[in-house]
Amino acid sequence: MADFEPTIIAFVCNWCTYTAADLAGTSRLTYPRNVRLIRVMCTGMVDPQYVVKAFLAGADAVLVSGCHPGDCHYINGNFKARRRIKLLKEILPRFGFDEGRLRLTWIGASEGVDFAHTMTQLVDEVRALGPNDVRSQMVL
Amino acid sequence: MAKIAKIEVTDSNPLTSLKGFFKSLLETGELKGLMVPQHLPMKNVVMPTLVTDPEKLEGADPLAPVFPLNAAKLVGRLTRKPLHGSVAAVLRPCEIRAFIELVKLKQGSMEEVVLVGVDCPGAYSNVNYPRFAGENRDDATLKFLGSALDGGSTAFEDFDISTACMACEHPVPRNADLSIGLFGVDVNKELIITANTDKGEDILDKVGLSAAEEPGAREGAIAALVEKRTAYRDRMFEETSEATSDIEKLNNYLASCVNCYNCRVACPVCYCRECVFLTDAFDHEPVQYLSWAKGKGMLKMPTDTVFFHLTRLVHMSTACVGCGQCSNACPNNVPVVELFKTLASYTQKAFAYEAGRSPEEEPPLSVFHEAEFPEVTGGKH
Amino acid sequence: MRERVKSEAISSLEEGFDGVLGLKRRWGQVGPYLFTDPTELNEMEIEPKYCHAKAIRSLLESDPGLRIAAALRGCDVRALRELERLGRIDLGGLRVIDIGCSHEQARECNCEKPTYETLTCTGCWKCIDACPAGAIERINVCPILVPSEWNEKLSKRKAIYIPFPQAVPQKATRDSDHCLRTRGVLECKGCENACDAGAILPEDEARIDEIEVGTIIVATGYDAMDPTPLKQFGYREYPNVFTALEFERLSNATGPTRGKILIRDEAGGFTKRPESVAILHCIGSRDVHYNEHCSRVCCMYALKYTHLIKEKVGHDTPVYDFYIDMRCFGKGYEEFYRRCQEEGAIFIRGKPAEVTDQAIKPEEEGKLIVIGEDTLLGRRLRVPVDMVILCTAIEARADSTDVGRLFGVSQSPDGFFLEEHPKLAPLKTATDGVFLAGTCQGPKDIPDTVSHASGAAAQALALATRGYVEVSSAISWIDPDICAGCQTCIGLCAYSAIEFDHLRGVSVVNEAMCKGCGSCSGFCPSGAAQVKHFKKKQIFAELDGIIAAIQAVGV
Ligand SMILES: Cc1cc2nc3c(=O)[nH]c(=O)nc-3n(C[C@H](O)[C@H](O)[C@H](O)COP(=O)(O)OP(=O)(O)OC[C@H]3O[C@@H](n4cnc5c(N)ncnc54)[C@H](O)[C@@H]3O)c2cc1C
Ligand code: SF4
Ligand code: SF4
Ligand code: FES
Repeated sequence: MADFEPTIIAFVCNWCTYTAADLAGTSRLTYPRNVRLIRVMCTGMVDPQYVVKAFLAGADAVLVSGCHPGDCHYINGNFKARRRIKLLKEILPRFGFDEGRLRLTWIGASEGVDFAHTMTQLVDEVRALGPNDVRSQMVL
Repeated sequence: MAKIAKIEVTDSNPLTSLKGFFKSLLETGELKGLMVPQHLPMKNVVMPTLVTDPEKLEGADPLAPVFPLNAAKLVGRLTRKPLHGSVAAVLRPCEIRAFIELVKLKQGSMEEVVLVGVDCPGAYSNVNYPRFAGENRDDATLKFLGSALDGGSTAFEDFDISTACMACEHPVPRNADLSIGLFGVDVNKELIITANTDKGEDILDKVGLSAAEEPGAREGAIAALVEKRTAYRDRMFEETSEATSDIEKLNNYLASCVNCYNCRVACPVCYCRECVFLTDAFDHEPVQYLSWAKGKGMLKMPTDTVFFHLTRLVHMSTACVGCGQCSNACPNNVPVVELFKTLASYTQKAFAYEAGRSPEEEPPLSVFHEAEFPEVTGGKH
Repeated sequence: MRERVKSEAISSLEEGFDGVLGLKRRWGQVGPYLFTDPTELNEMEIEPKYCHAKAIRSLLESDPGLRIAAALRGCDVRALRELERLGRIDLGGLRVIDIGCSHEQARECNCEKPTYETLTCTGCWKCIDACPAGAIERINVCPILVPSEWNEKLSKRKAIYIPFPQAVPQKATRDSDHCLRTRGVLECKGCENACDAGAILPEDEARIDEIEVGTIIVATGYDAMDPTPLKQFGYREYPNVFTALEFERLSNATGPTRGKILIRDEAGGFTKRPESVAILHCIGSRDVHYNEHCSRVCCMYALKYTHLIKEKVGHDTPVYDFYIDMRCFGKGYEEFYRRCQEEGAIFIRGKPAEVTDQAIKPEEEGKLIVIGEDTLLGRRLRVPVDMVILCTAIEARADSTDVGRLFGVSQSPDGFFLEEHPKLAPLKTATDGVFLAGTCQGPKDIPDTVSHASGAAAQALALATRGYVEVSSAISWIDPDICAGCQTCIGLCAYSAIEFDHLRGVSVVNEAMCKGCGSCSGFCPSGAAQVKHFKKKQIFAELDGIIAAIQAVGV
């Protein structure tokens, strides 16, 4: 387990967290390569199915990240996302997906440092949690 | 205050009196039709029928311990566009609650329908009902009522009413326009009918039944039944949670699922015209299967089974009324309702929502507020 | 009006003025005439199309001691003031008898102070008085004095005032927080009576006008940092420590000292000439405690001040520029730096630690002492001066967050508005049709601001003149064969872009209104509503691809 490298899928909104990731990059900040970004236009576009699929495909954690409340480029997509993640957080942990594996965060376009920091922290936390059981199982 | 009337029962046969009541409902001239379950003439199968001729009610039997499908969807089909006149629908409490969910999803309308609910002592599965009743029609129903209403057993041979019914904490149709009471009522002498809404009251006035009081034993009888069922339900929640507490167990739980999607077809609140799992999003490329298989060396076919059930939980657990038709429809005896009702209890609680409680309550994912659920983002808004 | 002009003319003569300059018809023609006999005044014409400035100039030039009154229009007065500014005449002996121009007149004259339909003010300046000795100090009908925002509170203005000389539109405005009448203190009608155009509406109030537009340029500018918290520099503690903006007003011809660079005397009045000046660069800029960014314009305006002080106060006035680095990045800027060096300005590399009035040497008595270090020489310094100018940082406006939200524009870490792309779209924002111009996007000097703004205007116009917008291809589409008509998406769409087609019983996306946010697709359980380019199938493929790659090669 010591050399366990988690896979983290992050659904990031184009206008805030993706931009923050971009900024982290242009600022030459580093964050663990365990995080794979899937750019969406807004967190409100993240169908809960994407999260479920990511877990079932073997992601050790899923992050959904967008603009701070009030800053969503599409006014309130992030509020809709919050309810959907709330729902997932009621369902998935009942089947043994540790709650810490599903995260919703707000990282604004200027928060490159916060982005790099959140990613690093998340990877550390998930590394401590160990691999998602799906990895060792035949589920699909 | 709700208006209460009684239907006199003669010859200790509440079914005959009920038929008479339905006939008089149609004869008020207020209704264009009445939807009610009937024993079909050709075979002892109980199916919802839409009756316009008051003489065509001989087979009517909303008390038969079976409901081969949840009729909410049918009422939806009947009401989703203007009828220019009212119909009445005789339904079980879970069908009414499912219908209310469908109305919120614009799959039906309350405008032109009088919902007539009947206290529900439970029902056998589609497989077991014929074993219980054979070709006995009303007699089988009366026999069932006799033992079920006395708080007696509903068990027969090696089976009982379905798990969903055993765990149902809503046996009384409180949100019907008219509700027909059996619990705590001496059904050999009378049936109690309560108008819960103005619409119900209007039509009840036209039928002209004599007023009545709620029998003193009724509240107690309902409470006792609900208590028994709640206890069963909570046990079921516990067992189901335990049986699915990790992904391996969930895998086992769903192992015999063949992705026929019958559960979702039978589900009254799965309202999609086409399940997303049947759309092109899931038309996987042939090489994709190979690629998946390569991941672990072996791939269960059909794929997407757990994915399907988890998705369905996301899509409809907040609307689940626990009617059990999913389990009834499953050809492989996957304990579907146990799982869905258990999860529904959590998801509905999370949004302080109760499926079918009121048409005013908005489905959790159809609304949002600026400041809510701070815990989702780690306490930060 | 005629009567009033006449009576003012008569009283001027009675008070002993040498004459009243007006117009008189002689030999069939109207021309300037100096009335000295009150009885003649009946013949005075108020035909306004005549400029008196030249006549007054020649009168005053020939006899500077002359005391005359003159019936003048706003434009005459502006012309005279300009002459006085140029030092050609002294208006001390002139009394202005105002001829307020009517609205029609202003239009007929094609008056350079344009008139607008909404307010009838013709910009005649009459309500404010035409006196060149600082519009504010004299006869103005309005009795209220308020610190002038325009002059950085270094002077006062009236409760009715024209915000600043170049204001567009050039119209008076009433400050209802201070006006006696609007505050209900007194039925004062000073300005109303004075205004011949009837422009002052007694019952007028601030109101919100809604204007529909197709494009918006945000050009809300910056805030100059308040240096009060940097206690070591003594702003507000020592009266002769100024911010750069204050100095800007002090050196400006329309400012409180009419362009004379003066410092405060013991009584607080601007009377003394500074014998030496220190200019402190980078106050609150390039400072991790305040603003990390460079404010970009300070080096150059500091050089401008250096030069102005040399020019206006005297070439022998010592000017000390305390800088961290000189950033003379623009066209002609380095050359200007060199010129200032040649003019004898003293440049000291090193940000001062403190400004104090605690003298320890006789030559420091009564002076402000700038304590610092010349880091090039590695020597500590105490520089006694009369005046200290703090080049305070250019900051994002305090209300940037609210304004940004209003327009859907986010902020960069320094608080300024974030452009869509630093290189490819520096004028655009993340919101279509909203552009940025000037310092709201980041510190800039005027040439850069103008270029930026011209670009923004061009882009906004290009969009507006085309009259249509191209919609993104990444918008939602609802598959009518799948949609169940639940209409939940209609309630979720923040742009009201989805309508219900009752005939077909399905929801339909209006392509022109959809912004492609996916609030609908994130919900729609059947996948009927999906955003193009972000379709389920595509996201799933992305996911499968990522996982397959990880399985193949590890993280
Ligand atoms: C002390 C000092 C000296 C300078 N000297 C020079 C110089 O010599 N040469 C040079 O090239 N540059 C100089 N500059 C820089 C120059 O001031 C700026 O480049 C220029 O003012 C920027 O113009 P702007 O239009 O972006 O912003 P601003 O000039 O700040 O204009 C913004 C305007 O928007 C208004 N506004 C703000 N918010 C709102 C709102 N919500 N609704 C409506 N209106 C709003 C403000 O009231 C303001 O009138 C100097 C700057 C300073 C601080
Ligand atoms: S949410 Fe989906 S099914 Fe419902 S109306 Fe919109 S597109 Fe149709
Ligand atoms: S993508 Fe967003 S804007 Fe477009 S229809 Fe869907 S909810 Fe409305
Ligand atoms: S655009 Fe970032 S969350 Fe909506």
